[in-house]
Amino acid sequence: MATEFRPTTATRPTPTSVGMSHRTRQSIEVWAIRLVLIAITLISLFPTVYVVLYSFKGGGGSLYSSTFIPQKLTLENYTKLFNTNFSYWVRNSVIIGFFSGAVAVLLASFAGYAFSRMRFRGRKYGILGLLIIQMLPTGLVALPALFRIYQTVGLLNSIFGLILFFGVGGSALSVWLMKNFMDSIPKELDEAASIDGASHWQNFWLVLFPLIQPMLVAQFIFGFIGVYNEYIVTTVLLSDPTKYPLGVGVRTLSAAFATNWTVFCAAAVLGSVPILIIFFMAQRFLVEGLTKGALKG
Amino acid sequence: MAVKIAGSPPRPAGGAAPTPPRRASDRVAYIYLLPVIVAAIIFTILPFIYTVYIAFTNYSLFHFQEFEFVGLENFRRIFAAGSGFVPVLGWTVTWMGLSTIFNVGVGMILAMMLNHPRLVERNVYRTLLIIPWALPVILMVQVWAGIFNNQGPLNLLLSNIGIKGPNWLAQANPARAALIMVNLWLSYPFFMTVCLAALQAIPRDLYEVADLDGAGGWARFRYITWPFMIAAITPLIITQLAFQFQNAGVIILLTAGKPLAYPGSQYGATDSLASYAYNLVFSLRQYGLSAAYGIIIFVVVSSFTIFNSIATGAFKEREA
Repeated sequence: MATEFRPTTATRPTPTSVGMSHRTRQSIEVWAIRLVLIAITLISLFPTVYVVLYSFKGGGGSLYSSTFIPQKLTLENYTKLFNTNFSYWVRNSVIIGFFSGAVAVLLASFAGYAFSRMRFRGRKYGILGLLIIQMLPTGLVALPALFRIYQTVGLLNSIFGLILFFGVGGSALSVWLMKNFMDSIPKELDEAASIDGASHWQNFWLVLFPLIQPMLVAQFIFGFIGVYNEYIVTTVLLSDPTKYPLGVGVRTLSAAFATNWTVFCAAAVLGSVPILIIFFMAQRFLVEGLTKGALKG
Repeated sequence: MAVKIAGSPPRPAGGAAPTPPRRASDRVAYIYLLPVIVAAIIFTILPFIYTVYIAFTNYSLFHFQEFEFVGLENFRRIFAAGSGFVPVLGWTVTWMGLSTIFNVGVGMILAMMLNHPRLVERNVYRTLLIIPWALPVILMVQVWAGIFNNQGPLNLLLSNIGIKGPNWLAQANPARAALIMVNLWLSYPFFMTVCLAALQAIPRDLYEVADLDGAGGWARFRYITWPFMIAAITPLIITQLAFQFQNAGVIILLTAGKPLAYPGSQYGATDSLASYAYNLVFSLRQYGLSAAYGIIIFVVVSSFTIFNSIATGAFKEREA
């Protein structure tokens, strides 16, 4: 970590003799930075503070208010959630997020293993090909096509169909990140194992799988959060509100700004807390996975 | 950033006949790749081929069962005068450019401030500043929609200091500004994190040598910090451009392309090509026309990516 401060003034051949010393200048700098950072942090926290505050607002569910701080606080908005489909949405999110995250990670690590450790025809352009394929505008514009396919095989309005789409569809980027991560693990390890008679299959599960856990966790969480956040595909493939995952479901609560806004705020708070906790618990993995993959660390 | 390898690798049982060293071609590789390849065919290639096909048909609400091949008609309609293509493309490019500049720029500046050696409490700011990344986009964009409501909290706060705020999401330019602000709020934590990682990877010795040479703050920034950081994040900037070009999620969630560009127009003042294509499918039911827009988006985005891979050599195979 580059956090410690080394006073370098003493070793300088030409100390800044005129005006301020190096140290004074730095402490003015750091106070200016501090002020700017505090201001930006406060602005950035505004929506979060707002939604928490309004989730406790009493006296009608309206968005409109004459004061920023609600005059009356209540837990009513949270208890009202029991009259909605909130519990279904929580359950659906957990099921869809867990299975599609797990399937996606597994598929990506198989393919990443092949690209990282094996030699075969088509390897060189394979990943570039996959990445280009993934850029085909399926998410949005090919939706009528996807809709027709799902209609034909009878997967419309099914949670399983959604898991299939998120778990199996579109994992080129994760394959690439996984391959890069595996490349950073010394090949000698699996070479030693294969001299001992390990097959590719054993090699993958016994040698590499335990070592790629930061990447597995990072991608699983990205997958999980991605499903939570997805709107377009989810609303096309699902029509039954009791099958919605949490994000899409809670959004339906906000349709009426004038009557239901505070209930939406309560649902948004409850819906955000688990994601926030997962994110901060896994932050180390996320940052390591990202910087390793993205910055070619 | 070395990977920690705890102890020795687990040794598989046996140790009998050593397998011949793996060289030449590993046929078994295709088995490991099979799931991804099958998935790509079913979920990407087939829908794409179908999309290309309907781009040349008049498939729409009025030709739902019996649509027919119309050649380049959809593309002719897109490029015809007054079609909305030019204004929508104009906003798409503006959106892409401004979003990328703000998202990357703010992330970078925050990272540099956080990296100040004497900022002892940096982790407090870092943790609080990263929160927008950790919250569900789909819910927070809706919260922003409430904040920007004409009688919402933002205009309430503005009126407290004597400013009459606009009806943000109902007027073209305020709605555009709101979109860029929300997109910035959603995106800066990622760039802040990546830039901070890049800054902390700069070897300390370089700064020490610069100190010995009597380099000032500007020289240290100009010749050490900046080149290192830019080298690390250039691929991400190009990816970000491509992503923002086709990023319809925030637009669909916050404004749905509204307000209309003019009374009775098919496209909105905040519609990007991607959100317009979505709207063509889900509100206007013009599947053929939408597919043609999709192909245009694809051509632009893939040019970005191919350019990126050539410019940075990101996907080039490092021979082991």
